[in-house]
Amino acid sequence: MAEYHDFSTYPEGFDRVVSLCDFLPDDYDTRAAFVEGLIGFVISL
Amino acid sequence: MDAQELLQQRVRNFHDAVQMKKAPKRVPHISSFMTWKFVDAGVKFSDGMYDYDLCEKVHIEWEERYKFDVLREFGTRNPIKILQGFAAPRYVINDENSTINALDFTLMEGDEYDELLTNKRKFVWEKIAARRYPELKHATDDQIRNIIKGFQEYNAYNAKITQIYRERFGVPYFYGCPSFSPCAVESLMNSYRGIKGTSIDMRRHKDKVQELCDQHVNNVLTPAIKKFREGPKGELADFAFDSSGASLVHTILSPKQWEDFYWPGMKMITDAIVEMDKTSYWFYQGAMDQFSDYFRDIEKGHICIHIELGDLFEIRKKMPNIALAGGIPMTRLYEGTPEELVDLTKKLVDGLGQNGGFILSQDKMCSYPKDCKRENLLAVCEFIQNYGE
Repeated sequence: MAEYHDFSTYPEGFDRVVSLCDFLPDDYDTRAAFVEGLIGFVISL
Repeated sequence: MDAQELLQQRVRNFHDAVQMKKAPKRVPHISSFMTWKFVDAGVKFSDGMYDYDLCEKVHIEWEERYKFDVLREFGTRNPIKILQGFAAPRYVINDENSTINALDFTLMEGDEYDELLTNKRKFVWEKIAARRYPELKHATDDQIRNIIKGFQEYNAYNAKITQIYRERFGVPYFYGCPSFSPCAVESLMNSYRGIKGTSIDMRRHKDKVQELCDQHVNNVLTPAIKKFREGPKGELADFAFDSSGASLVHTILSPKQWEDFYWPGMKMITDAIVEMDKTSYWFYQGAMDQFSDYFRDIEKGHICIHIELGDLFEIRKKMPNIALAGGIPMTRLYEGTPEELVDLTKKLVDGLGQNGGFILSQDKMCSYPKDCKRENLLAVCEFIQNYGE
């Protein structure tokens, strides 16, 4: 059964999304910048 | 002419048009068509927007039919597929009437500026994103991975279709450098507070809005321009324009608000573009000629403004140093005749583009069935592709 999480918290939820970006280089700042760009994009959808 | 030669000629035409030193070989033509491309192809919005293969097919047929010199978008202006299976997008599609409505959200309260100014990343995550998507409070890793995957698929589609356009049709990429955002009120209005909230805040919380704009200039724009200045001077190959930007917020700004909130950032951008000897395309929604005086002192030959509303001949008098894009009213593309539209196109080219300075396009972003008729658009395309050659 799928495990649910509260992704809406900062920094915990944010960092959990960062950790899911394992297709990016293993560098927190790079992944965090991607997640920041992603969320900036999807809040406009 | 093969695709590579055509691409180089198109790049040259765009740069000549903006630089205003000589007439381009012919006036270039920008497609500002959005979802009307689906209408023209007989494809339902919901089918085309959720299926990148179908979207690609529509866009290949589009270029085969009309042969535009560059496209502003490739069917992904409303990228709703990214959220599929997670949350409802703000865009509501009605296939029966071929319409798309955008729901308006107010995601930030007027008393929350200090939180935004103190830690933007935390605020956007915990307040803006959490309010827009309550689903984030109770989601699985796989659901989040699917959003990321959707975002990657969206980027991959755009990369693929622009590459097809470049290699098969000789259509250049639209712009080379990252687009610039001159003013924080733009995202404040579009993503956080909405038009009403932002309008109120610019009077009621003026100091906070000003602080937000200053922070944007210092923390976002200044580093972006520094990086831009570290790049090569002069034209970029393979791009219609070297850089780009867009504005909607000016439509709600008073002259004083423009002066305080908008122009400092825009002046930094235009100064850098001139210094780096670049060209830059700006799409200004609605009317913008109320602010034309601010653009008059920019060195001629660098800035192109796409005019959505207003008489281009009058605007040319106010801004003789700025290349203008647009000119074909969407209303005439539907209600007019091929002969009328050819006459209008000839008048625009002869009157505005004799020594560069004009790029043909539609005034509005054509989206719905009654925005255009195919025979009218074909007449304009055929004329512009042959006139002056």
